Amino acid sequence: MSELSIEGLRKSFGGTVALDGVDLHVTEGDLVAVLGPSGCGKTTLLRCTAGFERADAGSISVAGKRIDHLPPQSRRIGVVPQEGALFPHLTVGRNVAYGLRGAARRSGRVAEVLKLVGLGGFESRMPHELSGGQRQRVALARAMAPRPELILLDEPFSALDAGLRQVVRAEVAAALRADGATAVLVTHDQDEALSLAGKVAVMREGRIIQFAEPQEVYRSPADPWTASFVGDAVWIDAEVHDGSAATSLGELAADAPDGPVRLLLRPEQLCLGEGDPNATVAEVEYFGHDALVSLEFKDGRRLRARVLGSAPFSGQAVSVTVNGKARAF
Amino acid sequence: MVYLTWRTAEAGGEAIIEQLRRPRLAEMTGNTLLLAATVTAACLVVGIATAFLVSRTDLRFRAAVNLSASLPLAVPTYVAAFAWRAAFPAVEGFWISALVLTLASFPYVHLPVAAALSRSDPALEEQSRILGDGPWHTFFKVTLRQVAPAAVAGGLLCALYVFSDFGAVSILRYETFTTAIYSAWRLGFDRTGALVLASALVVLTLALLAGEWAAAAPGRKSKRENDSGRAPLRLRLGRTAPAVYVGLAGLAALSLGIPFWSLARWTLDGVSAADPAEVWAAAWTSLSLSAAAALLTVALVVPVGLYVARHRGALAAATERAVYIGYALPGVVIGLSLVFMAINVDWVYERFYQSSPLLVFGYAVLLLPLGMGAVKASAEQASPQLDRVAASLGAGPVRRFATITLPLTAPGIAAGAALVFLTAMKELPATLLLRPAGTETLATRLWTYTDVAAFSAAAPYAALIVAVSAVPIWLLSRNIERSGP
Repeated sequence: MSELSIEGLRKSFGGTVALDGVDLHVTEGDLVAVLGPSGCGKTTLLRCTAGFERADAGSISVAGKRIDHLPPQSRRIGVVPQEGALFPHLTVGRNVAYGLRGAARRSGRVAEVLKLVGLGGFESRMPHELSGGQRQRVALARAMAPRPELILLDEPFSALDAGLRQVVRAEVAAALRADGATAVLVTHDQDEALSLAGKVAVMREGRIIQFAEPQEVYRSPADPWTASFVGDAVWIDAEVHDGSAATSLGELAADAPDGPVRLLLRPEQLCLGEGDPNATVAEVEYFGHDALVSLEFKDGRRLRARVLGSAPFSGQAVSVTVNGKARAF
Repeated sequence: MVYLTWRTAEAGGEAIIEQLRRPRLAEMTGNTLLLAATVTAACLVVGIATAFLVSRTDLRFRAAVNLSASLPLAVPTYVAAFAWRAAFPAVEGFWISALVLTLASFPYVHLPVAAALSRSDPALEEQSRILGDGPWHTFFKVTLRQVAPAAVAGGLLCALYVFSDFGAVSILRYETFTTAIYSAWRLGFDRTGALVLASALVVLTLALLAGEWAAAAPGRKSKRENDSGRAPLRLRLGRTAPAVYVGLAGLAALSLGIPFWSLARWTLDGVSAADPAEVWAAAWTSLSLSAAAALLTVALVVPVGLYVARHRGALAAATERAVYIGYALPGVVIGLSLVFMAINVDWVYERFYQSSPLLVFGYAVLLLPLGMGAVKASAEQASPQLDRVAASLGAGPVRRFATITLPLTAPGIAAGAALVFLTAMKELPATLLLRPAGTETLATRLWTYTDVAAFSAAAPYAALIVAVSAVPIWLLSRNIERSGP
């Protein structure tokens, strides 16, 4: 059982509070993303877990055992750093074998993990002969090889360029799943967190604001800040009466007590149709696979919609309807 | 070392004030500053011109010009001075000192400026030309601005070099601080006089260092760099070409031709005149003293270098600066302060005064920064990140040091040791002050023979020193070729 359990973790640097009472529970075999803007404390959380930094208060346990007093080498936690950090003087094979002892080195584990990350047969290459994506996957194989209780990934894809990033991400997630590893991925990239992780912990100012599955974080964010951080948001101020709010988009179902609210919609919830026009297209940003359309309603309000396929033209009168529920704050 | 200098200066007491009033100090300051200013100005003109010709014109034989503008570093100034005196025994004084020092130290401007030119973004010059400025305007308004920090740093280095030079000026009979300090100590046994002069020289040196740090401040560096690897606009030399080639040939003849010709002539002469046993004895002394200095320096530098590379704190920065100040301090000053320490502290006097260990220690203090630079650079290769990853893979501190830190820093440590070894081989002023009676190194033999105009006896020593000095320059230029385009 390799379960990570962090409770009440605190850490300050001088007067700056980096971790302000963090609780986090990761179940065995899960991949959890810790998502937050830079400076939110997510890297400090990772460094405290790995043992590179000592927390001021709180506890970290793995598989029910306290590890916060142990030095890094005794924690059985693997780390995949940002730039891979392969040992430049060792071959790929010896890099991966570094964490293995004695008989384990010859057990075929090295070949096995290299195959898992799609680099079977690369044992005798040197790190400088590899591409950025390959280096990152070797770093993952090296972390996985000793079968640690937990693998920590510190923004492992941020140094790769956009096209490569997506491929490497998918391969890394697949390799982690195939090995049954428990992993925590630290990132500031919303797409990465939402697409890879089984659960997402949203972090801000040293605290975890929401810990939930990606769908829930996106659909029902804990607060307006999280709503805007994890994706594009359309905000509408309205008044709720009996679970329904009157807006320029018509009556919207809203789960909130009576009174003034801010309603959250995602741009893809606004649908353009042929019916009775209630808005005109003011501007179109075309991206190929989709388009962001700025709509002007009769009351002068502007909202943005995401449209798949062919985009409308500027000045076109359209009928806008809402798909799904609005989230009220 | 600074501490040591101040301490001994304090021990000198009230007599200092009286010394300060003596006209000699003013004369020495005037002499030294005049020489430093002349040499620096000349080095700036020559060094920027050669760097520009190599990297911004359609000059041919660029590699050869580059080499001939780096090679003078291989000739220690006292060897160059010896070669000039041996060729023209009548010349001495200010102008020949300025000439020899300029020819010896203009590479300190050429190398960083050439590097800065090849790094600078050619788009800036293209913009200037496209906006209607001619090549001269572009040179002064754009190119020169871009390389200004490098040129200033190089110029300051030349000035420091002049401040600390002892061999050339003493052979060419021009009195500066260093020669005055040495003769005050050796000939007059005038302790206070030597101390005051040394302190004044330290003050001048520190003022220059402050200037260098200001010049190296990050704000002054251009952020635009040549990422594209695009070739810059090259100026056609056209009708000026013959004049340029003649000028460069003349420069090479002065800086390399005359010294080597003179050296070769006298060496041929000297092979018969010199006593081989004496030459080998001196070579052996130099060799063993330098090897000891290299070992001691490495032992001192490895922990400090690793510490500085791993910790970004104020203590690390202060340690680093302290070590570099040691480098800028003239060998005469370091030698003198160690001699004073030996004389004033009984414990040291009894055991170490005029002993080889003290001389080796002096070398180590003087050359610490050389080893330090090498160790620090390679310790940065072994980044703390790698250490942490190794820890997360279950490696304890001992295994981490043995398998990660040591293999990654070993080449740098070896390079640092080699550099210290080769530099100690040619050190002159500190050796003169600290050596035990009767100990002769290659450098001291050369100096003594030149002093009595026994040129053919001195020549074999000069040739050996040049051979030893060429090695680090060769390594240096190989590194530059590797890192630059």
